[in-house]
Amino acid sequence: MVKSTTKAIPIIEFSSVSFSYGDRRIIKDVSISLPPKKITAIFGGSGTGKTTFLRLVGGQLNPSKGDVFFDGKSINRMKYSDLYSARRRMGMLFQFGALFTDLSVFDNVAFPLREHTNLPSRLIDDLVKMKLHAVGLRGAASLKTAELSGGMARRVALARAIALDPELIMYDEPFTGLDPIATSVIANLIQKLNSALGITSVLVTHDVEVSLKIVDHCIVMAGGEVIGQGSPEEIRKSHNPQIRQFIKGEIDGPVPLHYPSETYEVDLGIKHAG
Amino acid sequence: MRANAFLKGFVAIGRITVDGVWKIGAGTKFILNVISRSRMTFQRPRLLIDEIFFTGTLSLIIIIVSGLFVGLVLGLQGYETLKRYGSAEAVGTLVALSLVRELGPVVAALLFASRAGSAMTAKIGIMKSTEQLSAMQMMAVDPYARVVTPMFWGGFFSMPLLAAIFSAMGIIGGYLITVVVIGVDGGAFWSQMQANVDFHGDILNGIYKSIVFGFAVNTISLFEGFDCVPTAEGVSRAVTRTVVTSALAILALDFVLTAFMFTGV
Repeated sequence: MVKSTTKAIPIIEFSSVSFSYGDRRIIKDVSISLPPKKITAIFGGSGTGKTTFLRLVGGQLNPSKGDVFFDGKSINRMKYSDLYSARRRMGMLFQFGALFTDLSVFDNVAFPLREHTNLPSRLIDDLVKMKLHAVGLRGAASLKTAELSGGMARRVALARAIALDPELIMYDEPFTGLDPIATSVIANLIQKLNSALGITSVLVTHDVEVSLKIVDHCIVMAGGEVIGQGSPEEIRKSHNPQIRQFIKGEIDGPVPLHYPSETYEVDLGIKHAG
Repeated sequence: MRANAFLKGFVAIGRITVDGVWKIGAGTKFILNVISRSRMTFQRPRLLIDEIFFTGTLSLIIIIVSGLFVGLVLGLQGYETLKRYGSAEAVGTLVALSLVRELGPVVAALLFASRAGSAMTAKIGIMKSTEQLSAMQMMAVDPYARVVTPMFWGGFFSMPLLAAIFSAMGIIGGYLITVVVIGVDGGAFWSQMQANVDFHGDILNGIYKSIVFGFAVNTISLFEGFDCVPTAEGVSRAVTRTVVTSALAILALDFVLTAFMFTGV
């Protein structure tokens, strides 16, 4: 019997990807692939290119160099119509939910179904109730978005993100600004949805403790580069000083506390520069 | 020192020119993008009706009240002036021509820019700053086709209707003050108006003007919203720019159109 040598195609693959805003390089020659049907966390401090990473996957930004592959096809080389077809297979939870403020909770979740399907309204009603039930908010269907707490808004956005049964869900800072209970609820939902729906999940976050409990794989970014990756256990045990500083939340280290400047004495006029 | 100041001034002029040219180019590209994605708007009339309500129906109160007051003032001023020459009956003609040729389209467009244009800019700007447009893109829904284009066509159809309602209310205001209050002969008021207001030369040209103003105000409002810096301050600045740029564009376009339509330039 011939042993199969075919390897599962990673759902997302970065091949030598660089991205710049003008002269500022945000992502520098990154090559990574994300394992399918697993939860991957991308860690990094503010401004390390985490959200840019998600926008590159969604095709909202194009890399200045390299290719971003989604299911084996380059997102940045796709035609407009193919890009929109690819996006139908993705879901994204934005940092603050990005719910449509002029629509109710129900209409927010129904939005992608109404836009992309010709299902009868009765069936859309049932699907929306099922999605809202999955996030524990079936009873909140008639509420306006202004009446929701931060955690509830995030859960409604999650229900909307899974409305079209995507193969990939991206979470942009899913725990930011939430109280401990809401944080646990969202973490639990990410884990449950991933296993129940068999999807690939990507979290970009700087909330290390919560994330390490639920993810299967971690990628740590700093200065637009990948400085380490592995299982949560491997990341916890890493000897890389940058990773250690980030995981332990140390104030000073490879990432300095102070923004680069002249010495304190020179700035105060006590000494002369040079 | 003086050379340095001169150089700085030169750089500033250069920057303003480049920014201006960039804005014209980006605005043109934007509006072509909007128009080229019009199919959804006309395939789903509900989207268009909602936007006509948002830009048109919600502007009705300000248009009706302003039109009425402008008509009252025109009637009063016109009567006082014409009386001196013994032709007070011509006040109907004066009110109607002033409104359908100039004041109707121009004042209605200025009010439209302040009420509906600023609301469109704020709505798009807030949707941008709260990532609602990005969320739409990630749901594979084109925000141009789903949000911006219906707004554009909604405003486009509303503007001439609002201008017509403004003119009609102005004429009613003129009638009330001159015929009902002052006592000018009602028959003379209407018959002089009917005899001197030409459908093609006056009314249609007024409608053409309001269509051009509507196009300009919608383009400016939606572009400013789409192009704003996605912060609270950025949105407020964009709303201010919408009102100021629209007002200047309306007045400049009015001069050009009047020169072509009524003076035979």
